[in-house]
Amino acid sequence: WSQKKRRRGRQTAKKSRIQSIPTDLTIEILSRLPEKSVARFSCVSKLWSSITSDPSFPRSRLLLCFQKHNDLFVSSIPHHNPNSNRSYSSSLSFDHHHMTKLPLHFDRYQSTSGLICFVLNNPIVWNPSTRQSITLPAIPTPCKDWNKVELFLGYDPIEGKHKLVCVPYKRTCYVCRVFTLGSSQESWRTVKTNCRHRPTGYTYGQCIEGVIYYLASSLEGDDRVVMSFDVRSEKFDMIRLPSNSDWDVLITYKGRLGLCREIHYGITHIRLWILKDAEKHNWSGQDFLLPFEPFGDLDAWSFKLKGFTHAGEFIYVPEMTSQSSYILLCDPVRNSWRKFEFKGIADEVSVHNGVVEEEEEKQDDEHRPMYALLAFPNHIDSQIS
Amino acid sequence: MSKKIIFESSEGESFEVDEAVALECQTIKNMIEDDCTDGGIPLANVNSATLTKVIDYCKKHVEAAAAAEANAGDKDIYGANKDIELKTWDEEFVKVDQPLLFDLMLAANFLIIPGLLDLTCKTMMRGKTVLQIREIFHIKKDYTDAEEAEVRKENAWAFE
Repeated sequence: WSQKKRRRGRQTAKKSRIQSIPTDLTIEILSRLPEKSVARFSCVSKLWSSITSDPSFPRSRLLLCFQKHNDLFVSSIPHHNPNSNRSYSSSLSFDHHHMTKLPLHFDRYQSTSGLICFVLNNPIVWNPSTRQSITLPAIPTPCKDWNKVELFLGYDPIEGKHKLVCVPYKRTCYVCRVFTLGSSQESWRTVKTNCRHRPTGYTYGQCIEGVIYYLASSLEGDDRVVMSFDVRSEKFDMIRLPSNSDWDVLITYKGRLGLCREIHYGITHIRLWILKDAEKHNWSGQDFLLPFEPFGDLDAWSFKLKGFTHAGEFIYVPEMTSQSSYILLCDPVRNSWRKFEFKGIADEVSVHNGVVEEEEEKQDDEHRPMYALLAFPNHIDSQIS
Repeated sequence: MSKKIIFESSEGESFEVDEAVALECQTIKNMIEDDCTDGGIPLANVNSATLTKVIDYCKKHVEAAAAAEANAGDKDIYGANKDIELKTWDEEFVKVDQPLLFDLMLAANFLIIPGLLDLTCKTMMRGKTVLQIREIFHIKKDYTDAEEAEVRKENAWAFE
């Protein structure tokens, strides 16, 4: 017993050296943890809580980009708002970016680990944190026409590399083109596809822990499937779907792939299929109520499901928006939703456009300028250029 | 022969390492660049046991980087196995008791070894509860019960 006690005594002595953990190290530790751990450990002490709630502390946020012509107005809001009111509004502060290469409309874009890829004639990879963008080289023939390809942005967390993968659109994919960002690579590499399929497209790819997922059809029987592409090994795999329906939305749900259908008029809930085991093609279904009145506000049906935040909320965003608009955040566990109304775009635009905007301000609600709204949940700041 | 650097642990023990290994530590790199490493580098807050481990880590990573360099070329695809091997080595490396892990983390922070700091921080926190963290770091709960209930409620999603 005495020996035991002595050992314990020594351990305590050893531990006591630990006592003074420097605050800078605490910040180092916390900034390396996933969002959920950060939220949990903010309950450790007041100091830890103040570190994680400091605006300079890197936490993922909902990034909102309002696009009008060549102008992007970028803002972000924290995912977890202690304000539990059902409806709240806030003035957003905007970062204004002028990008001459943006077209009037683009309907495809994707973000992964801090970078955003706009699919255009010549795709642009953009880092909103550093404001840097790269225009990619053209893909070699036979994929000259970018409108007929699918482009996905992926991130390999092990090597810390972003890669772009280009596959044909609605044509059999024998080869794909790969571009590694930040490498000395000057043109696209051709990689033979180990698993032939036909990408069906116009769904955003999702990159989860080094694997890109997108919708496709198999060559046999033309069944809808989800393709996975391992960013690191550059190998494809095919995942069978829970049923052969017209799936059109892929999201990241609690670190897993979620599959569902676009919401449409008259429905009251969505069924989300969550990928449990890719190798076994195992999905589990879950029903979630929608934050809309089933036959109420018609506007509601212009909302798109953009993802699920680390704070546990589905995000519904209108694709086009005027100055006074809102997004919906829906908590499926509490079965509650919040409405986040944003203000300030009008002021921002008038500052930048001067005289022109003064005229527009006089216009009534219906004629207010419309913006394309792009939303990126769980966006993290990245210094990658 | 490559240049040697001498570290001195808190117990006064000397450790001779290749300069390339020492360069893994940003702090030492700065000292080497400033040419103030003659006569050894005293590390008053790093004990021998910790220093031995730190040197092991740096050596392994210098070797791995050299091997990767030699196999360059199609590194993007074919370097994969090597990296998995190094990752497995890292995982084994941090299978140590809590106090040593803590010392390694402090040393990595002080010597500025980004890879080791990342590895030790994540290992340290993995799967820990709030109570365990308070115990390990000797942090006194400064919330009142009511305050703690409130802050836990705000972050309820993280406790699911």
